[in-house]
Amino acid sequence: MNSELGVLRSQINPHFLFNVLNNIDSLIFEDREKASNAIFLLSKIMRYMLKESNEEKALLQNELDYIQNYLELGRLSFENPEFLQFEYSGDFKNKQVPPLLFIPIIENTIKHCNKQSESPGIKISFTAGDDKIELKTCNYIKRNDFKLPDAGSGNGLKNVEKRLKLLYGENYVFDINTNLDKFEVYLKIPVL
Amino acid sequence: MKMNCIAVDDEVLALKKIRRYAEKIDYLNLMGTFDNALSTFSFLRENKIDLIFLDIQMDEFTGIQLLETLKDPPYVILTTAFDEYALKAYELDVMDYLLKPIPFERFVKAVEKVYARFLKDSQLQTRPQQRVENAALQPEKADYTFVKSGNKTVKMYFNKILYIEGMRDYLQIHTEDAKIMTLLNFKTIQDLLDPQKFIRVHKSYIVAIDKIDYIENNAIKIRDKLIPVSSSYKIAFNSLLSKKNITHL
Repeated sequence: MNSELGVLRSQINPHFLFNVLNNIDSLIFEDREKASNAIFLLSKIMRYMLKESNEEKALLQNELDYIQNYLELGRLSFENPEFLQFEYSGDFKNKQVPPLLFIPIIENTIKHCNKQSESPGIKISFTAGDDKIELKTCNYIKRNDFKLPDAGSGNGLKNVEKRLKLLYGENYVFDINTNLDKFEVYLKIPVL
Repeated sequence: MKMNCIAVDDEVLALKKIRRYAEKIDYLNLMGTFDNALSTFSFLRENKIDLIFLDIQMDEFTGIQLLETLKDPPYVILTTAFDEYALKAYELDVMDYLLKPIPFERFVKAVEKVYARFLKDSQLQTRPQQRVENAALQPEKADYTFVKSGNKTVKMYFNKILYIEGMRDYLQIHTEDAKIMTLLNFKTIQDLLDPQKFIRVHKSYIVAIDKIDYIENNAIKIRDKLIPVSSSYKIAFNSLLSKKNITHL
């Protein structure tokens, strides 16, 4: 089971990595400070992924930092930084979670969002309760993504589901909802 | 002669980069940049453009879908961060395929290729969409072209060319009966010439293989002109000679 979990763990998405690199390449001429900051963020998230992808558990606070860094890089693709709304609430300290469990869901919103939609086009909320952790995402999808929202990368969300089963048995909620051009994901896991 | 172009990409930063590059090339006239299919369509309805830089993966429409709906397509240079579409690009008859991040030199190479084609097609009075039909009607390339020389436009038969000599900003084309001075660069002229019949042998020379009288000590004699073969073009030259069953010692 451990090796299976290892495979299912999130790896850096090449689409995301290349997009960030291309954006940095443009930023070097447009705004050097922003470019430098993007490289700093990229090195932070890569370091985190390299370190945590081999661990069983990660601190929720670190996972939150990682997600925020990730989203800041993702925002380079949007002209309006408000287009991506991220809210978090609750107590993130002293809790442990499986590392990199949430990121494929978050990545999915950026990858498949419709940039022409009204702002905010992506809404993400992350809540740490006493006994449960919840992640809710909502984004407008591109009209030509007729197939599964993760059709591009293939198995993003499917792998999350498999991993959840291996980790929690039946003790989790993972709902995916497509409503016209809106795509919503809800994840609830227990705090162990 | 300027080439009107637009760039389409859903990454705003990518568009800025193309703008930066395009501004450095004097024959490119970047008429606009677009981050979505809708505005691209409405622009294309109103404006005649010669070249489009197109990202393949876009919101709402993919670049490929956009291309397929244009009935009067301009030349296309695809830009993408992913190489998985290269095969599809061939089917769509695009001029080039640029992988991001795009180095400036590579950008220039792609644009020069399109520009040479653009000049040639405008001389032949064809638009890109007529290329296919013309190819069907004329399986053989035309055996002449017109080149501008001073205030004249001169007809030039390819089979009369002896060699072409580059001088600063213009070329001197030596034919059997004339010398034609023209404001072209080597790249442009080379794209017009049959590569089986003409070869670059030096930074400043293209020769007509049929017209070579003899080759001696890394130099080519054509009529009374001795043309040097430089080391960087030597390998290509020798391999072409050996294809023509000439043993070159």
